[in-house]
Amino acid sequence: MKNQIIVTASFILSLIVFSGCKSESGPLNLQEEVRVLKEIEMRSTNIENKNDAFNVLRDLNLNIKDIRNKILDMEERYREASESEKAQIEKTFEQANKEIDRSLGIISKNTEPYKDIEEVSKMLEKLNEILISK
Amino acid sequence: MAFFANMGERFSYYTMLAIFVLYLQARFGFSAGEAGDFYGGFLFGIYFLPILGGIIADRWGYGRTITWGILIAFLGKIILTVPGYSQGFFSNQWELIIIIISLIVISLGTGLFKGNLQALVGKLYDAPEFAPKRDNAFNIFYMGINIGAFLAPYAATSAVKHVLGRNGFLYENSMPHLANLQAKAHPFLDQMIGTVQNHFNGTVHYIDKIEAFKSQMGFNGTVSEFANTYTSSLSVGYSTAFAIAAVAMVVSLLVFVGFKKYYKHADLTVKQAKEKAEREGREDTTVTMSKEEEKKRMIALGLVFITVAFFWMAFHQNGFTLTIFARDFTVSKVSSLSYLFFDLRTFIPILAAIGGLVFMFRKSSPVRTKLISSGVFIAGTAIAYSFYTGFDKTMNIEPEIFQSFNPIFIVVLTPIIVGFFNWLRVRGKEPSSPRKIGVGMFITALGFVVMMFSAFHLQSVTGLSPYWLISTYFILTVAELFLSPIGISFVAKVAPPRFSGLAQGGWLGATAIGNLLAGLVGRLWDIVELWQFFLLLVVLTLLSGVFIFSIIRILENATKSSE
Repeated sequence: MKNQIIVTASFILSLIVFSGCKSESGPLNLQEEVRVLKEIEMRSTNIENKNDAFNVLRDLNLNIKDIRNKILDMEERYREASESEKAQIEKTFEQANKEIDRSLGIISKNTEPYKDIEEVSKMLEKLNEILISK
Repeated sequence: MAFFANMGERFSYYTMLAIFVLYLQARFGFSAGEAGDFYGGFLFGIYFLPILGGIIADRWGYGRTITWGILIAFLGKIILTVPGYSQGFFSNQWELIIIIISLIVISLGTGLFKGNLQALVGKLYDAPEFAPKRDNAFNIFYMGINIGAFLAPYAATSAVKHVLGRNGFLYENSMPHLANLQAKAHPFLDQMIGTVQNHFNGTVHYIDKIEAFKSQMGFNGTVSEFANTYTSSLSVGYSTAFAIAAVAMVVSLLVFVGFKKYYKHADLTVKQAKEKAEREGREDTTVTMSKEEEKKRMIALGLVFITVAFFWMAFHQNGFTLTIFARDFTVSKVSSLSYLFFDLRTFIPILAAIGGLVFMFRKSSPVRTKLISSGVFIAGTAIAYSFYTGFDKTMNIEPEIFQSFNPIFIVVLTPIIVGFFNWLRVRGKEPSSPRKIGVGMFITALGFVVMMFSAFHLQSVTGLSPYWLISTYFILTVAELFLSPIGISFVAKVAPPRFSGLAQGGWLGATAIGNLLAGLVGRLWDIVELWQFFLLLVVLTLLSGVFIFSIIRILENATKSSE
């Protein structure tokens, strides 16, 4: 029985310890978010019904939320950065912004026919405020 | 006495907690992550320090430790009001230091109070004639916690709204965040808003949003002035809610001290009981145990604590991933009929009416009770109907509202579950406390099975009915009632008398670890499929249940030897 306690307690302890070991600051660029956005863009080219449109916009909302969080982190770093670092962060952002702009254009066009359907329009309403929400 | 003392303290604690993160964001401009770190650290202290409180009480006495706990927590809540009321007297850095000090003081106070009150309640049922009623007593005690927790958010929000209203403002919970955005330059966010605006009409900028609130509230001045005045006023509102929390501690203290005569006989450590018996020249009846017996019991408790940590891990998904699920995958508009359950003005009268109906038709109810019950039924129905007629055809629901179902279900289900256990006991079929805990783990698994099916169902619909989540909350609450109050009762039964406080502290320590695990598991939310996430919770809780039943003999022997 003692062994059972030791094994289970060690398992919980290791979970806690390893959670503390995770890297707090991931890479400060939007590469991963842009990659996910491109996947959503691809899916948007195959929209066949309102459910597809809803799912694409739902995932877009989640992706834009991730983009917002990353941007706020980038701005935090930007405020304290040296001039050369600032230029680098600006460049990174500009590149990502161009790709995001292009992908959003395609997604917007592909979801346009469904925008008046209630569930889809609700997702669009969320999208309108997601960059400034908590 | 313990019911009301605990209800007062829990009301105070949850009033503070309901607005704590919002306060940090409004006052210090913290991001959700930064505020979350504070919140997480504070919660860990609240649930872990009872171990220390238990060690102190086992030597110093329970009543005395509890009294000091209430006083210290009261002091902490008073300190917490200082930054909001002092309005710029201290620098921002000093205000933050004051907040940290207050949180430490509150954690210490709660550490001295929480577990030891449970230990004291347990001691009230040590006498053989009362021992069979211990589980039910803890069920009722637990209801006190939840009534306090249920009322608290309404008290906090009312206090904040009142202060804002005096300054001519309306309560708008997104304002602190918007004001924080406005306070700093956001070159990238501004550009990104522009990018989204290019393709999706109606995308809003935070300045536009603040401007809209400013016009709505008739404020004359710039956007910046409005944001500053609003957040200052909001801080005072939050401090007022903290002051209410402090007053609730005074009520708790008055109840605890004023009704001392009802628990005085049980408020003795092993040493104090021995000394008292010597003074009175009688034999000491306190149970003394060999080191071996104590060790056996502590091992049994340790095993339960480990298992229960997994319950809290799953259960505390309610304030975390289940709320995200409500926000992202559940419809945000419901019919006026469904909305009856989402508005307290209608839900509580409906529950009262149902209660009235039950007593009206119960054969054993005397005529007077039947008359009163009919009155309650008619009044409840009339009140609910009068509000119902004011509802639109469809009504909006906020994702946070789902969390209020748990305390409501606790209050409603406690008498039913207590009655069910009584019914079983009369027939000699009441399961032992460890079996109830094991069954509770299986019921928890069932709750997440429902969520798993909802995730499958989501693949074919655009938004889920709220009844999926309501059903899950219902099942999780039944599980909680099988597990949490019964677990506290089990700890009270099994703990060696000289470690009663420490053992209750250990129970709360397991809750602290469960909370940590909840956060860890929650990280998988964005990584795995929805159904996989819920399946993981099903498997972990099922395994915990199987584990409990695999050691049931050890646990039951520990319980039996204490009866």
